[in-house]
Amino acid sequence: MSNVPYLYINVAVLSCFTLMFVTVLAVKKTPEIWAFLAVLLDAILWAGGSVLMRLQIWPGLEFWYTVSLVALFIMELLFYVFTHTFAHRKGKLLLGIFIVWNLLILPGTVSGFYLAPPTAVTLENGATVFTYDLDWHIVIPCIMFVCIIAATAVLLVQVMREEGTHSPGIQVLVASGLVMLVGNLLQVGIPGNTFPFDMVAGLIFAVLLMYALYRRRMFRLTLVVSRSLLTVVMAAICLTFAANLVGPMRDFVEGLLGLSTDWAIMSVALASAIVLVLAYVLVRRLLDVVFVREEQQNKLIKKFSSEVSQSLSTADIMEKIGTVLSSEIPVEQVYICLPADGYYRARYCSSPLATLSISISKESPQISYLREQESYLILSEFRSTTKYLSLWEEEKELFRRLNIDCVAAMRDGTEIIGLVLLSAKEREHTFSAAEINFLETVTSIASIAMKNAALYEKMFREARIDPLTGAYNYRFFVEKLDEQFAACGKECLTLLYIDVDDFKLYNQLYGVGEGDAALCRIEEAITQAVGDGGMVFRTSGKVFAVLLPLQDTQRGRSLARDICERVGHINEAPERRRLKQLSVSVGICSAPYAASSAKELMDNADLAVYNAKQGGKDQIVIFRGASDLMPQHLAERTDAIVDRIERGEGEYRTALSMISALTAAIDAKDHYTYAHSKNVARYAATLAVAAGLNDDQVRTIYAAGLLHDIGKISVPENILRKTGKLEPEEYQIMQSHVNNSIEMIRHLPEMDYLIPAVLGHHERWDGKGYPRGIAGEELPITARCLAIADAFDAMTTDRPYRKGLPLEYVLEEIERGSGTQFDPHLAEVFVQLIRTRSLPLSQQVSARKG
Amino acid sequence: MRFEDKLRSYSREQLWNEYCGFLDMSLSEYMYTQRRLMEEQICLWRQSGLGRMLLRGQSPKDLEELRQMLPLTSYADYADVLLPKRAEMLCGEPAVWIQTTWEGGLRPIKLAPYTRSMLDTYRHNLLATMMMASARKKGEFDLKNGDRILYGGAPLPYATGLMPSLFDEDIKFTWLPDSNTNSDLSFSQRIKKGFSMAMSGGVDFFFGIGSVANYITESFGRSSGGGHGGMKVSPGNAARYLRAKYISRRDGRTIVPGDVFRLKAFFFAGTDAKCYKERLTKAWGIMPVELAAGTESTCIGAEDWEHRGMVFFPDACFYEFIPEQEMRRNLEDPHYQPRTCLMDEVQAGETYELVISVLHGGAFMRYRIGDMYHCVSAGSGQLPRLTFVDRVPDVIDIAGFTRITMSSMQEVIRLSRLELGDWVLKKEFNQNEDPFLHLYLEIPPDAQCGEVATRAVLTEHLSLYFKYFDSDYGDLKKLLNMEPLEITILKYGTIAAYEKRLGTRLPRINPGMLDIRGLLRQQDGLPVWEGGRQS
Repeated sequence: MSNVPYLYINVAVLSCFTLMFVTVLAVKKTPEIWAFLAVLLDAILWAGGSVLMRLQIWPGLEFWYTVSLVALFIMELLFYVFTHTFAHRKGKLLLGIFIVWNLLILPGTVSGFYLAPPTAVTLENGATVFTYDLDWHIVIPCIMFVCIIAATAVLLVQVMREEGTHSPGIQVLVASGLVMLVGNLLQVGIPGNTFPFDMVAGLIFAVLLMYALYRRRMFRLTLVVSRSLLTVVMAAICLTFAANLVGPMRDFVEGLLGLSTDWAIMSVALASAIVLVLAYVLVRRLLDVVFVREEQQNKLIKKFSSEVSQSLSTADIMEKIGTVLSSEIPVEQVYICLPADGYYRARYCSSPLATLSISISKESPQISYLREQESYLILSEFRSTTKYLSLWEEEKELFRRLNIDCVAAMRDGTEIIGLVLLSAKEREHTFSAAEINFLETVTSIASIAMKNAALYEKMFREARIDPLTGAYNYRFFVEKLDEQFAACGKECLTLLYIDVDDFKLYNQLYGVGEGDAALCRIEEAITQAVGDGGMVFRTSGKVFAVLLPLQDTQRGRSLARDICERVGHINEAPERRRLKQLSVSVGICSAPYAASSAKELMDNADLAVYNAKQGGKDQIVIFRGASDLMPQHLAERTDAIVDRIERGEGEYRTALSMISALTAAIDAKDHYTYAHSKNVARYAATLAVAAGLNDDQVRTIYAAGLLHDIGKISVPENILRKTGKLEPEEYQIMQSHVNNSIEMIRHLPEMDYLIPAVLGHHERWDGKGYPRGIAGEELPITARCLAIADAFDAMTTDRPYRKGLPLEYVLEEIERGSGTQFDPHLAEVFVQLIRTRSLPLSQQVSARKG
Repeated sequence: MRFEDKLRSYSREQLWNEYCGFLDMSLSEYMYTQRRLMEEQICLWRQSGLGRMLLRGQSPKDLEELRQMLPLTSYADYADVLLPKRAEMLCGEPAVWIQTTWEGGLRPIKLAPYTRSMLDTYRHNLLATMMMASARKKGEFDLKNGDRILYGGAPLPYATGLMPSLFDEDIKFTWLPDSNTNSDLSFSQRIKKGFSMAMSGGVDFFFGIGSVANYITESFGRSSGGGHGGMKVSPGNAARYLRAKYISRRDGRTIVPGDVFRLKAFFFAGTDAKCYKERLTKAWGIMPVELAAGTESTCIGAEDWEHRGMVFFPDACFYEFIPEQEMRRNLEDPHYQPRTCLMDEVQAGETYELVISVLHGGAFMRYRIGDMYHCVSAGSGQLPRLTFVDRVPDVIDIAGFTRITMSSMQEVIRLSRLELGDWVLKKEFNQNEDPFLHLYLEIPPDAQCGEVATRAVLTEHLSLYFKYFDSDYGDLKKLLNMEPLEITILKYGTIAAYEKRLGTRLPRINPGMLDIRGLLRQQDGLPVWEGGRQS
């Protein structure tokens, strides 16, 4: 083999052809791939025939020469077929002519009429060369070659004119044809040449054709050949060349440069090392170009896929989409738009300072293009469609302003659930096929994740949103209040309760539909006033709550004023002038100033809003918290506070008449209960003042005290006046007075704020009371005050079944019940009040004591 | 990207789709584009000062509401805003104001604002027009950088002067000559210069309004017949000339431009263009392509290589059509609001008056442009094809130069101080198919005695005042060497008698041809035919 010059090149080229053929065999077959396989097969026959001819292997030189020559003669035709298929041409006439022409000259080729088999000549240096005898016969096939080459050239020119020179792969195709032509011309044009220019050109030709198919995205190289396989092949080629070049190089250095043997060996070794290093670098680069980017993309996609599939937050997924796209596609900005109200509105931008006030109508031509044609839209391609004509100027301007060049759709079936907008690449580079593939993969993965996250968020939101107004609901309010109370710690937290005034009347006047619309507008007004500083909830039919973390009472009050003003303006709009003006009553309480628990904050704000209602509505009441009154002034202070009720001043005008009517009724039925109620009201109110409750709370307790046993009206007199022990049924009837009281108070206009106190006056601190059995601070403080006062008066006054108990005994009883029956703090204060005589006793007790 | 760069980097198919893709639109796609762009325009226009002024406090939300709320408009509705260039009243900032003739000397000019977006669409559509006209079949257009355009348009501020500047933004054409850079030259000097340049390097496209194109063509014939002064002598020119000489001698006629030049396309537009079509086709060896463009409307339609009528661009204006019957009813009763139909409602074989709403921030909404179009083909979901007929009947336009109305005619008669009786004015065509003004005139008995009232003197006298009153009328003589006025003197009382017999008033401008015949028969004492019934 070594006697044939450059045989190793032929062998290497043959190996490459074979490798390419085997590789491409695995690719999905299209007409272009079939045409390429035909070219490769022909190249294998040509190179294989040439190698075997030079080696003169059985059945002999002539046979292999014929194989090689026939394959070479067919090559032009196959290249024409490839170009024809690549350009999607339909006309077959010329193709048919060329095939017939090839068949006609085939006998002459096989018989050696055009070119006789070469003669092997052994030179003096032992090398075997093959000499050809040319005569005029060779002109016959040459005419055919010229015709086919000319037809191919015309075809290529036509394609370039029609599709433009930038059509993918077309330039490569032209280059491959030229390389093949030049290689063959060099082969026959240089006299005495033994170097296989044609083989090298054939290899480059085949590689370029493969690249042209790759540019047309006919296959992905990494799917058909692995990096390791390519490395081994490249290494084998390099080593073959190195091994075969050492001898000629040494001859060259010794013979022509005249160096001594030692120097010659050293020079050759050095040169070989340099060439190998260069070859290594080049091969490495080549492999990196082919594989590294895709490997990198694959890694990114794998990581992205795993991350987004674990996320249930759309914001988080959008962040990840932006990051992964920015890392792989060099664009300035990535926007993500999600559907809302007939538009796709921007929800994310990779640049934090960019505006998100972007929206694209769902009816816009871009969206219909994405829906009907492609999963992505390149602006330059979109311009070529008629849909572009119907684009609004502002839509064009949006793309121009943001420099958007590509839009990809995230889909759920046919529905587009989001858009990814990419700004143009630097220096007006276009998006490569790999980048578009990457974008499509990312959006496809993100679509599923976004859909799941959006569904989850929707359900999450629906569970927390009031369907009518869109504000958060009561359930979420309770959750959020506890959370914020804990989060604020020692910092302030303000709660506003906003109660719509006379809403029942509003509904009756204009119907429920208009009432609902008013609620929605009020919610809107509140939300606008609150902004990002707090959260708005609809806690019941006509009551809204606003939670303001880290904001004090003053801020709460200014906000409340703003809200009142906005609500007042709602029905001033021309189309709503006919409607009654809306107003709200606002109660405010702030922790830690006036509440030490979330529950207390809620109760106090509730109380404040009730007081605002009582105070004539359309006003703001702040729960002020503990009073700093001195004990010696206690009785006077209590009198002063409750005096407003007694005299029916201001907001208590209605309350007084109600209370008077009810107490008169109980007096008529059972005088003891009437006197007892008055005592309890006085004791409880004084205790409340002493415990530092504010004036509103004191008045509430006083009024509740007067009415706490009102339910006894429904208890039969024989039970009420029974001297003996009550039977279980009788006891049950007696216990029912609490619920009866509630039932009666519930129907009194604007007195329902007394319910918590009345309801809880038989409850116990340890939860063993009735009717609800609630314990500790869950019990409203008003009820806890009433419970002590009620027990004290019941024990100290004469009852039909026993005489009043001694005062000291009663106090000891209260002390014993502290922490079990009674609030320990209040019990202590109460006992202290009695012992220090700060609390005026009832006439009966005073007389007995006296 | 400029069009010349697109020519290098885009495939022909891509370019064709971008510019001429609308030809393949279905009617529903076409209407979708029209309605969507109109929706944008309504949003912009109703908020502008001009929109509020014309809508009188109403606010239409969509097209249907707009058609109900806004009556059809004419330039008089816009004059107070547009003539003083009150840009703050418009819905888009004007990039340029374009001028045109309004109503002769009575109300000399109209001004129309063009927004940047309108200019972009105008340019896009002009390029589409050139591609369509130069194509020999779909997608195979022949347009390249450096193509030479023989141009017979007026310079800025007229709409024709926009074309060179607009094309310059996208592609480098050679204008023969550039009307804007050569605006100091007179019309005939420009024509001469254009021909001289054409002879030096050839010509690929020819743009001109019909009458001007005809004049240029005839000028060529005259210059070639009487020598070719000013032409540079070069081997190329000589060869071209010799070849033309040979062909003309072979065919036994004078040299025509088609012997010298091989045009890719020849565009013509304007009133009376049709009457020049045949002779222009003969002269240039290529059939002219009809183009619809106007000052208020921009370029709205063009024919393609098949010459089957114009397709209107879907993105230039929103089109409404007044059927001829409705238009005539409105002519008789000016208070009648004619009904309109949309592009998907026009019927083949019908003639319509065009109503436009300029898109992309334009000022004109439901504007009666005053042009009549005939629908050549429509139906089966195909885009309708239309061809220009003439101006509306109450305006006489001669060769696209002048607009003569009833009031302008009255003013000319008043200025002339001639004691004239009743008259009717009609646009007619002579045996060469050249348009002319035919005035049928009565002379009162006193004037017959007291004044020189021969036909020649009257023609001379009235022409003089026409030229004085309306400079565009003067241009007909100056630029095109046309004397369009002819007078026929009727017996005194003929018109009144005819009207009495008919029982209706005869339109003074452009009455029907039957009425003219009726007048002549009335004068001769012959029975008058009225709707086929002898009276």
